[in-house]
Amino acid sequence: MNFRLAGLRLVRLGIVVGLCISGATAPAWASDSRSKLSALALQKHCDECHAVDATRIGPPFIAVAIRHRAEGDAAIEPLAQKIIHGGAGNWGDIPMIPNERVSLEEARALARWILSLKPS
Amino acid sequence: MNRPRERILAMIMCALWASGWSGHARAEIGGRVADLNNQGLPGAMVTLTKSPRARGPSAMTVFSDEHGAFVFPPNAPDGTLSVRLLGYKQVDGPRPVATAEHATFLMRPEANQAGTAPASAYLRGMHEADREVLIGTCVGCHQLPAPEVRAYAKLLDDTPQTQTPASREKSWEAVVQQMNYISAKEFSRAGGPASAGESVYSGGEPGPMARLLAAELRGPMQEVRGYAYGAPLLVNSRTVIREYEVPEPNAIREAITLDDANTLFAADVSSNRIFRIDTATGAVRALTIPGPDLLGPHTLVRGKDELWIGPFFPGHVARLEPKSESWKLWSLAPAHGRPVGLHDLSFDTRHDLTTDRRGRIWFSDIGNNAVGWLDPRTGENGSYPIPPVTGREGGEQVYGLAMSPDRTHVWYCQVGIGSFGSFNTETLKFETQVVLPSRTSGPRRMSMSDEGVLYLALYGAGQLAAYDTRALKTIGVYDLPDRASAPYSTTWDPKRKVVWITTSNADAIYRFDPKDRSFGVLPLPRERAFLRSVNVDRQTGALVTSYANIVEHVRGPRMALIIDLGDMPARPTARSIASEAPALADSSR
Repeated sequence: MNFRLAGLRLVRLGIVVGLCISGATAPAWASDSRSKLSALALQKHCDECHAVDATRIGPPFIAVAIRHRAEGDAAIEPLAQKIIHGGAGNWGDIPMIPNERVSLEEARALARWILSLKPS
Repeated sequence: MNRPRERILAMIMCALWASGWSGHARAEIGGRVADLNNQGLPGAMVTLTKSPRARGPSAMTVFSDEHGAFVFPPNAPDGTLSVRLLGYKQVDGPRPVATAEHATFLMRPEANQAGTAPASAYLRGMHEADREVLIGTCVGCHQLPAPEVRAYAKLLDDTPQTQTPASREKSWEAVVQQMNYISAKEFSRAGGPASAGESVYSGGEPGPMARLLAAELRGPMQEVRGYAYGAPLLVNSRTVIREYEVPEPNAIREAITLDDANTLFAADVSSNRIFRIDTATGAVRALTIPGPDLLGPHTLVRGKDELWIGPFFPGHVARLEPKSESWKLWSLAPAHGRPVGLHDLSFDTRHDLTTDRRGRIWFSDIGNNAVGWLDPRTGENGSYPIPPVTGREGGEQVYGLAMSPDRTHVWYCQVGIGSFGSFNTETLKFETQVVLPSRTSGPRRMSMSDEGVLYLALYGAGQLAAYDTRALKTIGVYDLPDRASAPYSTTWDPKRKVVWITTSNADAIYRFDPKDRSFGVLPLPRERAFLRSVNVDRQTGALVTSYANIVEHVRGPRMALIIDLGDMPARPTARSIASEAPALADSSR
């Protein structure tokens, strides 16, 4: 139990009390993962797990685009549904969370944007 | 002048006014809740959700009596009616008021209480220490398991790749990382330093939280059975819950009334706004704290016809004078290197702002684990770091604060280590130190009774602690009706001589009666009723509280509430006045 509590004490600093009391500055990846996202991707909080060209909790969007490039428009619908329903298999065994607040129309727009990305 | 005619006209106008006439007359909204054997069902929550064009609260809820009958107050707005009852499901959907007057709402038994039982229902039977840690860590920001958490549990259950304990732990670790990211983003919104949000991220290997989540949130979590409130319901057929939504985006934290029971104030922590809500019409007006800094109104304390505001982001105290709608702002200088993280302002046994005998307001400073003071006349301020508690050093985190009835001591609690203590505001020395049995019991907001009894809500432990600050003796630690309810605050009710306890995870408010040490429960009419503080209105005795879903992601309701318990002596109802008025008019002819 002790090791649990030692680890969790740090969590409670940030989460339980809900005030910014640490002296640490914002992590670099936080701004990086947001900078290249489309307005809709930001609005739908995709940055929480993804960045455009870096692996975070989920794969980089650019890698998704490269993988599905050959499929053309046929890739849009499965990717849109994956955004809504989540799931595992394509990028490892950790399932993407379901995003029930993203409408099908929004998910299709996000999928089109992701698939349009090209390596810089 | 034809005086009798004028009198008649005046009486008719009075009758129309008293019957809630506002452009059109309408019959009283009432009816009956029954099962499929046509037996009346008591204690059902009947909610009238206002239609967009109507004026009034966003929703009003009443409860059915012992025969299943319910009736709304005469001024209820137009809208739709729906019924909630633990263990039952409404056979048909919501009905427009116009087609539902005096109708019977039929319910069938439903053993799966998903949707009517609170999140806490899923945490029953959990090991006590694990439950304390899970609640202490997660429920500070959202209910656990929230619907999204249950959806993820179902996904893990459905997915072939996540059938092993190791893969489930890794999956929950990803969620923990996501939560870290969200909290870092939320807490750095004011442009200041980010929180320690990354700290649970354990570098790719599942951390302790992920292991705990994987162990405790098992199966698809789409069913919950056998939940009971655990205490008698405090409602009757005159209980009315009025809920007021405010325009999005917002993150309401606390709500309060001042001298006028018809005006609600609600704090929006996502901005610098205080919402001023007319409780009769539901009209909402935003008042903005002036200045360049994002403050994030957070804790609201009633002053003498003033509203005191403790902001979320460090370094300020604000005060609103509602009549002139003018503001006064004080800056708090960092006393010990870190920005001052004000949480609670000193209040008295009526939950009104109070000072010590020298006119200083005291506050808990969670940025420095200190008790701080502010002289509002001069703006001078300072603080005193709380000494370590032997055996529980590190991670202290001061939280709640309350003033003793004689205004010589402030009592504080430390949520991170399960302790509380006192500071003498005359000698400026720390005095008493009390350690609760569990380090993770999580004391949050406290209040003080007229007799100097300190009541502490133990968030993680699901208990209420009562401590006699005069005899310096623990009176008792009482299990709440639901140990996974995450009790957030206590409020001493000087009118009723009881303690109100809000919960973050049980969609309910508890009442503790010190006379017989009994509990009662007031269920709230919707899921994710994530509560913070509760105040007792000075004039009416109504409870004033809010659904405080802070994080923009949490799709829980954002509402301010006024709860008329229906336990005060009956006043003449508008209906009885209306029915008497024409008779008087007749007799004057």
